[in-house]
Amino acid sequence: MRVRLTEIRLRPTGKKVRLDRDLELESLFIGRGPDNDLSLKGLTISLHQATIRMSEGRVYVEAAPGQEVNVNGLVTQGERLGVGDRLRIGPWEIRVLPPESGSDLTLEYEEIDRGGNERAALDARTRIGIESGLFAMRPLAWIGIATILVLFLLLPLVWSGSQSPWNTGDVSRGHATIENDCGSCHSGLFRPVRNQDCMGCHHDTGRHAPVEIEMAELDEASCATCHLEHRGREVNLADLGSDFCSDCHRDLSTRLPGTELVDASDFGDDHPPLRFSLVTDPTTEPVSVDVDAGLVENSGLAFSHLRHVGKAVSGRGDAKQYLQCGACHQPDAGGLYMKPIVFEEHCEDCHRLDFDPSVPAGFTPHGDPAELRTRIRGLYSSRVLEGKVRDASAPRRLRLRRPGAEMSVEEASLSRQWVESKLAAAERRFYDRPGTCALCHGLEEGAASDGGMGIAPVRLQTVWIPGSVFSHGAHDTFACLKCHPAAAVFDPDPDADLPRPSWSAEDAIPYALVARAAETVVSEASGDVLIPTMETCRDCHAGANAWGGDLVPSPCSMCHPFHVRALGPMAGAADDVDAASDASGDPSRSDDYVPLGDEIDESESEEAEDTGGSDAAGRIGHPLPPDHPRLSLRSLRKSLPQFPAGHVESPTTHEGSVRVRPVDQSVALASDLGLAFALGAGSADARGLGGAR
Amino acid sequence: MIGPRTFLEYRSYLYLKVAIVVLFASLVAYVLDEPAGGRSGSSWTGYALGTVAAGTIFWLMWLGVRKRDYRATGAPLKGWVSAHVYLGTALLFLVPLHSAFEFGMNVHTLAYVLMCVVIASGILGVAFYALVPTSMTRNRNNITLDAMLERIAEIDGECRLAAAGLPDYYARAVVTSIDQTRIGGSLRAQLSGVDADCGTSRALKSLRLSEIDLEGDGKAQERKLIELIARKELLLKQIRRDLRYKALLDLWLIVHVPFAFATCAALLVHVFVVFWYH
Repeated sequence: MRVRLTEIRLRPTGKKVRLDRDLELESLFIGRGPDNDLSLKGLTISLHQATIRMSEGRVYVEAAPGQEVNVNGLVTQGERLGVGDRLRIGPWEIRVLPPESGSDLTLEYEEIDRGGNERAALDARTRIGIESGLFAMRPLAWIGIATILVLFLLLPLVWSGSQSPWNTGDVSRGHATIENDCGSCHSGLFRPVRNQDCMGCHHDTGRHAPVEIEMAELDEASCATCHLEHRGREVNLADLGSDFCSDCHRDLSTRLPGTELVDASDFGDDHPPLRFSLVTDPTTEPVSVDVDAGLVENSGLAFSHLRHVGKAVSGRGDAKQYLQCGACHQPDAGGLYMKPIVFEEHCEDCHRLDFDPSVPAGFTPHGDPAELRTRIRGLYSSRVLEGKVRDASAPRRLRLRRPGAEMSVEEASLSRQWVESKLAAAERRFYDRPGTCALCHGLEEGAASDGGMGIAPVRLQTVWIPGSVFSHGAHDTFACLKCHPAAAVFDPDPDADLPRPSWSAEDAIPYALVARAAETVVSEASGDVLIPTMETCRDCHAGANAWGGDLVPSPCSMCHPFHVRALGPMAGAADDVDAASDASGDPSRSDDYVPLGDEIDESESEEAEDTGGSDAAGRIGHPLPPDHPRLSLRSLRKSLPQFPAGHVESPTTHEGSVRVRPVDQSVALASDLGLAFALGAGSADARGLGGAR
Repeated sequence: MIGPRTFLEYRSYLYLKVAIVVLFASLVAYVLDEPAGGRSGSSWTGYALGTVAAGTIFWLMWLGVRKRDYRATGAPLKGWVSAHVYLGTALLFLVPLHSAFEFGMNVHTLAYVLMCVVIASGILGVAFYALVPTSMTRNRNNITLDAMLERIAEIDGECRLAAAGLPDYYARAVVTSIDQTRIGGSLRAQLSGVDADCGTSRALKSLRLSEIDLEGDGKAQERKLIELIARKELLLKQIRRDLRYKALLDLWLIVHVPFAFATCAALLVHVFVVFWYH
C-alpha cells in the first residue's frame, strides 16, 4: 500500500510546519524503535507499539502483542480505521486524513504536548528510594561508628566502671573478686601481664626446677604463658592439656643431659616404673627404690599383717570384732595420706604396757625406757615413803612402815633393793622375748638417754611416692584390698558370732586382683611392703588421651604438681632478670618467700592440731625444743597449690618411739613434695635424701 | 547490573576455591596447634587467624572504593564482587577459629555479631540479585519506570479532558484519582508493593458505583473515563511492584554498608583492647 505520512512539527519560533513523506509497504510499523516505519519519540511508547495494514481496501490498526492502542479515546487491541479517526500513541496523535496524491492512506501525526504539568504534580506526590533523612547509608554508617567508638572505646577509657565490655571472658572462679579491677593484673598500657603482677598474691608459688637448671622453656615462660585467663568462670587455669608436661619430659634426657629424671610422656604407655621411698635402715634416711628391685622394708619394728588382719579381737572395754585395715590405717583430715601409726591410738588397746597388777593402767609411758625407769623407781619409792607397800614379796619392815615415819639407813637400803628388784621384774617383762617392748621393738644396750637398755631406732614411712601426690581420699570408694591385695587374709573365728568384714566378701576384690594376689605371699614378714605397683594404677587409670574408654584419662598433673614451693619461688618477672636470679638464687633471702618449716609460731601449730593435723611430735609426747624446725599445716598446704586447701596434711615421715628427725625439715619436704630434680649441680641436699628420685 | 551468576561463577568459582582453601588451612592450623593453656585468640595461631580475618575485612571494605573507580585497571569489578562474596562468607567461620569459639557479652563478640549481620545481609543481597531482577524485568514489560510515570501523567491529563463535560461527581472522582494517588513513600509502603488507600482505586470504585444516568456523548465519555482510570490503576500496581523490587534491592545494602562500618569500628576497639590488655 502507498502511505503518505505528514508530520506537523512545532518550530522553536512557535510556527508549525508540515513535513510529508511517501512510503510503499505491506504494513506500517509504529513504535519508539528506529526500525519502525513511523518512529515516534516518547518514553510511554513501546519499541513496537502498533501496526497499520490494509486488507481488501480497508485499513486496520493492530496493537503489538502485549500492547494497546488508543483509538478515539478508547483503549483497544485492534480497530478498523476510517477518515477522521484519531490514534493516541504516547504524546503523539495520529489522525487519518482523506487519501491524497495517489496514496491509499494519508496519516497526519503531531506531538500534542499535554500532561507536562500533570507529570510535575505526579512527581511531587512520588517518593522513590528507601533512603530518607538519617535512614540512609552514610548517616547510618556514621551513627554506627560513633556509637561503637563512644560506648566501647572513649567511655571505658575515661571511666573504668564501664570497662566490662572489654572483658574477653569471665575470669576463673579464684579471680572473680578482682574481675572488674582490670588494673590488678594489667599494670600498664600495651604491656603483657607480668609475673610480678601475679605474684603480688601468688608470692609463694614454687619453681618447677632448681634455679641452676637452665632451659629456655622454663626461663622464657611467664605465668601468663601457661595460665590463660578470661576463659570462663569454671575453667581450671592449671589444666594445661595432656602435652604440656610431655613436650619436655618425653625426651628430657636429651634436652637436659645429666638429669636423673627418667623420660616419660604418658601414664598409659610411657611412664617409668614407680619408685618408692623405702626405709631400709631406721637410722638413715629412706632410699629411692625401684619397685622391680623388690621392696623389703626395715623400719625397726616387728609387725605381721597376717597376725592382725582379720583376727577377732576385743579391745579395751570393746566388744569382740574383726580387726580391719581401718583399725590402724586412718586417713588424715585432708584425705591425702594415712595418719601416722601411733602406739597409744592404734596398738595400746590390745598391747597393754602393764607390768604390775597393782599399777593402774596407762601408767607406763610409751617412749624412752630411761623415763620409764625413772617413773617406775618413783612409783615404788613413793609407795615405800607413803607406807603403801602391799606386795607380799616386799620385806616386812617396808610393808609395816607408817607413812611419814623417819627412814633409817637400813630401811633406805632395803627399800632401794626392793625398788630395784621391782624395776628389774618390770624390765624383764618388757625386754625378755616376747616381752612387752621386745614384741615389736629391737633393744639396744646403752641406747636409752640414761645409758641403760634402750629401744632400737624406728622409722615409719607414710609418704611412699614423694615425687607425686596420691590421695587416699580420692580413692575412698574402693576397698583397701583393691590396691593392697597382699593383706587379704581372713581368719574366721569359730567362737565369734560376728559379721564378716566387708572386705572379705568375694566380690570386694576384682578377679584380676585376686589372680594377682594369689601370686603374692600373704604378708607375714615385717619387711613386706604391701604397696601396689603401677599395674594396679593402670587397672583404672589410662593415659591422658584415653578418652571414651572405661579408664580414667590421667594427665601428668593428676599426680605430679608443677610448682614446687620448696625449690624456691617463681622468678618475679621474666623481664626483670636480676630480681629473678636474686629471688631464686637464695630463697631464704627473698623478702616474700618463707622457706618451709620457718613459719613457726605457737598459733600455727595449735591450728594444725585443731584441724586434725598430724603433729607427730606432739602425739608421742615429747615437746619439740623451741628452736627445732617444724612443719606447719599452713606452710604444707601452700606447698601444693594444685590441690584444694585442706587436702594436704601429713608430714612426710613419722618416727616411732625414737625420734630420728632430719636436721632440716624443709629440705626433707623439698624432696618429698617436689618433682625431684636432684641433678648434678647444687642440689646435694635433695640428693642426700634419696626419696626424691 | 551485575547478575549473580556472572560473579558467582567468575573464573570457574575461583574465589570459592580460594575461600575453601583458606578455611581448610585455618582449620588445620587450629586443630594442629595445641598451645599451653588451650586454644584461644591469644595463641600464635589465634593471632595469625585474627590478622588474616582483619585484613580480609578491610580489603572487603575496599570494594566500596573500587566500584566507584571506573578507570581502575586490573581485575574486573565482577572479579572483585566474586571475591567479596566468597571471602566475606568465609569470615563467618574464620573468625570463630580465631577466637577458638569463645564468645561472651563483650565488644569482641559484638564485632563478630555485627560482622554476622553484614554477612547475612550480603547473602540476602546475593539472593535478591538472583531472584528480583527477573521478576522486575517481567513486571516492567519493556517499559522504564519513568515511562510508566509519564503515562500516568498523560492519563491524568486525559482524565481531566474526559471529565470536563461530565457532572461534578465525575470531576470529583478524577481529582481524587489525581491528587490522592501517591507513589512510593515510606520504606514500609514501598516494601509492601500495594497501597490500600490509593486515590485511583477509590476513584475507580466510585465511578463504577455511579448511579448517574448519562446519555449519548456523556455515556461515551464516562466509559472512556472509567477505562482511563482502570488503566491507571493497573499502571500504578505495576509501578508499585517495581518500587517493591527496587526497595528489596536497596534494603539489604542499607543494612550491609552501615553495619560494615560499625564492624570496622568494633574491630578497631577489639584490636586496641586486646593489645592493651594482653
